[in-house]
Amino acid sequence: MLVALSPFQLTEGLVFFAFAFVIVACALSVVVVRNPVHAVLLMVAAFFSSAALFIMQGAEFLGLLLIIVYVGAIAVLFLFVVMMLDIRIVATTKSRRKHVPLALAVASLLLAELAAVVLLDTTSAEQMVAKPSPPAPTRPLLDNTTELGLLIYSDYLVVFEIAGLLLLLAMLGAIVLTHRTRDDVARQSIAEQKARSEKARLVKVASKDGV
Amino acid sequence: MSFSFSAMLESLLPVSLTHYVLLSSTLFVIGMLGLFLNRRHVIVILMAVELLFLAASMNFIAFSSASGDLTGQVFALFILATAAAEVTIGLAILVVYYRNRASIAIDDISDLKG
Repeated sequence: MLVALSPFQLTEGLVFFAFAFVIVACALSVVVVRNPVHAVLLMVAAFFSSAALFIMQGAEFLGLLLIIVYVGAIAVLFLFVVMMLDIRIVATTKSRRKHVPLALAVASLLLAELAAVVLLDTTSAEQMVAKPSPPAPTRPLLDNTTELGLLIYSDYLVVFEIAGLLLLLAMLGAIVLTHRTRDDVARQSIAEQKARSEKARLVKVASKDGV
Repeated sequence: MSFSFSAMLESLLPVSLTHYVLLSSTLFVIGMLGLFLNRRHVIVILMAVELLFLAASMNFIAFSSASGDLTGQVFALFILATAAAEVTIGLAILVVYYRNRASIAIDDISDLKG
């Protein structure tokens, strides 16, 4: 059963298990820690390790994108909100802890089902993706980012534009939701100023000349 | 039969698609657990949802690289965009809610309860 493993496979295995351990440990900590700031930082660690695994699988563009988007943007957004809102660190009370056994039971059942599907199925995952006859590439393959770009800007152009529209809508939505006109700050209202008297008028003052 | 670390490692290797699928399943279950367990802050629930998104895109990428088809990576990209939009709106709602109620503890959010 034991086949000789190449040094590359051994290294790959060690790296995979190291990153997988970090991902699972950090994700579990995100769920259980009390302090939301710690949770954000642990989530960043989990996303960072996942980016490493993405790169290991040859998806360099998405791995780097994950670091830029999650570590660079979303984590900062989370930290901003967590630190802006004065969140008390509350201890779990007994009444809340009564949900724990049920949640653990449901989660382990789900995990067992997923693992059973993956491990016990007679057709392995490798066979599922194995195509009967892989089409021969008509041109030499380029690097991951270029190939992805070729695909996005041809076959998935409409979906890509819709994704951009979605992001624009999200931005507008966030601004509309959080924007408020404050009454307690002084602010110039030109229309009101002008309407106050007929004599008042706006003058364009030339530089160094005065009025 | 001697039990050694290298023998244990060799029985688990080489890293295959199954490894990645199992890892993403575990991650998904942890995210679900976070949704069930967390009764403190809405913000940690949003983070659990992010973990679910990560598990989904990890699955997409694993199958994409195993089958040599880049379409899975394209969809992982769209998942990323959707997750970013979701978290933006979610956090904006949270900020507005906090402004109105001065609390985002889940137990306080029960206005819609009849």
